[in-house]
Amino acid sequence: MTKKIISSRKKALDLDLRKLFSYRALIYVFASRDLKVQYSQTFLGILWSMIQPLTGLLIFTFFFNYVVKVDTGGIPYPLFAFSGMISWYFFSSLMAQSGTSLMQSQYLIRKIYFPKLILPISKSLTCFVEFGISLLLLFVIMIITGYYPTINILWLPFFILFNLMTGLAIGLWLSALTIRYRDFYHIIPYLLNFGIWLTPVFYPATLIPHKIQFLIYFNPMAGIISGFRWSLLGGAPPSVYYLFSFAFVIFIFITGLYYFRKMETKIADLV
Amino acid sequence: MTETAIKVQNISKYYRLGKPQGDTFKEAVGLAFKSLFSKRNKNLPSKDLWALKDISFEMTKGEALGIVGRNGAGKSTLLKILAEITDPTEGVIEINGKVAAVLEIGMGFHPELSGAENIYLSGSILGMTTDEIRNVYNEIVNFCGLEKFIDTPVKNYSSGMYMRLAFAVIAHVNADIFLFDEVLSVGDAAFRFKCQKKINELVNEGKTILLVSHNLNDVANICPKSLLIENGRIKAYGQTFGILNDYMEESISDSVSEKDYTAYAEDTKFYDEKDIADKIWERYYPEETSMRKLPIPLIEWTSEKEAPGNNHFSIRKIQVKALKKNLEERIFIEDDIEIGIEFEKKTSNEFIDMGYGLLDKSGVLVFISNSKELLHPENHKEKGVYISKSVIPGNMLNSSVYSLSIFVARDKTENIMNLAFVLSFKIDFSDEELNSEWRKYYPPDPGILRPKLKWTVDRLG
Repeated sequence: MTKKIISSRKKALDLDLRKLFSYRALIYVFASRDLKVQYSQTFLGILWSMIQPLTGLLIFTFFFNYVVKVDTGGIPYPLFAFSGMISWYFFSSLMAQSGTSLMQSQYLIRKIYFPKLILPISKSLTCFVEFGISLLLLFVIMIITGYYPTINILWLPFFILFNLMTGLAIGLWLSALTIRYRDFYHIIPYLLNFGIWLTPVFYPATLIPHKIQFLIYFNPMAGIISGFRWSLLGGAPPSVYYLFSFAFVIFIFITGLYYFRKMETKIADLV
Repeated sequence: MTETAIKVQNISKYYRLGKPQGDTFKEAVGLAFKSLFSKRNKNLPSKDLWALKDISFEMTKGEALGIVGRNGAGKSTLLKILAEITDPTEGVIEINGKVAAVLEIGMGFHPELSGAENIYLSGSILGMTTDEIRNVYNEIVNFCGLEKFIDTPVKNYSSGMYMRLAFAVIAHVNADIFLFDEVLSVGDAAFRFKCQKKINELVNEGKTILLVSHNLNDVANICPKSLLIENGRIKAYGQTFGILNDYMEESISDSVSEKDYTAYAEDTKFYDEKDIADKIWERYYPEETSMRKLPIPLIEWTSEKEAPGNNHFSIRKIQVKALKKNLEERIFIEDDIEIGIEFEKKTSNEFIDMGYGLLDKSGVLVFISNSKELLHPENHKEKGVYISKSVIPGNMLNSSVYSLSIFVARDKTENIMNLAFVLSFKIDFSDEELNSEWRKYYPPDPGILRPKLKWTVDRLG
């Protein structure tokens, strides 16, 4: 017989991962719901998740490879841009979706109890599936162009993990903040639109003037994309200075989890 | 042996009214800045509301408790706290057992997904694991009878189909404690009937049920005891009929003074259903209806396990027949009607009183009656098999279908079990009346009762 105490007394803040684990089925169910709903009644189905980066790729290849010549250090431009783009899209869709996950599920939050962390976590699962499909596409392009990965590929899981953690960390903060201050809801599109140009997605970081180059080390996505490229396509390894931004990601991820937990108890009264 | 299922101690819930302060970032910054320079903000703001104040009650395992009160009294807030959706501001609750909180029918359903996918989605939201859902999946599909449409997106379902699917999921949730908020008053007659039947099962299985409803019939039929909440405080706690009486009197007297009587005529929509009578027959006598026009109003439990009861008593048989006639014979409007309840008494230190509520075809309670008024001889306390009988005089009920809800009380004071819609029976016009000259020109009379009154007509001039 399960026994449970509901109390007004403030408990020490803990993440209650055991409870989260007991609800793991819900994570999977939410994620598969989102995937099914997103592509239901479409003819191409999940192929749409490739179409977006591919059209982007065509446009940017035209601009940066033909109109403005960009030096990619010997890597074919489509591969260079596509590897950056799928990493960026993984980050941006995860941030946007987990950031709005609480707002989107208000109707559920008001009607039933479940650990709210399930919402952003299930979003990361959805985004990861779409990312995986794009990654497969990248491998296909690599094989077609005869560009085989080196031993560096062993580092790939590490960068994917950080990619996920960065998106989720910001998403956690945004979703929890949005509950109280709707302002943050409007910040998300700005982060997405400007972020892509402040991150070396379509151009190499070396293109940035030397004087302000250090600024790029504050951007964790710059390090992740650079490392992502390096582990897949070779070239120059990412600078060690990025480790600071990685440490920062871990910091905001953990504080994000706790802030989210703190807001969780107030959500039903505020949404 | 009574185990506590829910123990609520001094629960209060505080809400700030109006626009919450610091709702936007700007205001929050402003407030933070202000509080640096003033100490006034420490107290609670003046615009406050205690949605609940000092609520305490206890439920034993297997108890069904109703919560009634007007809109905004705090019923739903209490349920939300019990369901952990929102935290109490003060107080402690102890819950023993797995809770299924059903605050809405079709919770978490997604219109784009198929029925099958929604079963998994809704089941998971109600706290079931994928394996648990897989185990009851076929039962759920059978229960709602939607095999053909199970792969169709629910957005293409009719609202009735949607409800059936949603309730089927709820009916198969494995939990010890059920919290229901208004969910029984939705849907058509058949759906409502299915809910009633399911609730009876839950009561029999010894599940604990907390029911919030505006539909007083629901509360009366299901819950022996009730809680009346007013302005966030417990106004009364006790036997449901007494509580409902207080509640109705108060509502009516208040509303009359406000000249807004109609606001309390709730749930009338449901009662417009014409075919509930057929549905009732269908439910209890599936095989008889196909063979006979009139099923026998008899329900008998042969196995102790299925029979309604608890450790005080166990019902064996309930039957309705015309007095001095056989069970198989039709009941006519002028017949005296005998209602018999046979039960086994399991203890030797108390009286058990059987009683029933007579419901008309739309579920409205016509009257209740029980053997409480009887002066029992002392030896009726002993264990054994008893039969309680009562007679409804002829020429009182209408030609219609009536149902019985059974109420069981011990020692004349405490209701220990309510069972809704246990048995239905039909009253006919006699052929004599049907063929009579005057009846030719009149359709069956409307109304719940049709008493035979003495009319006189005198010529005055």
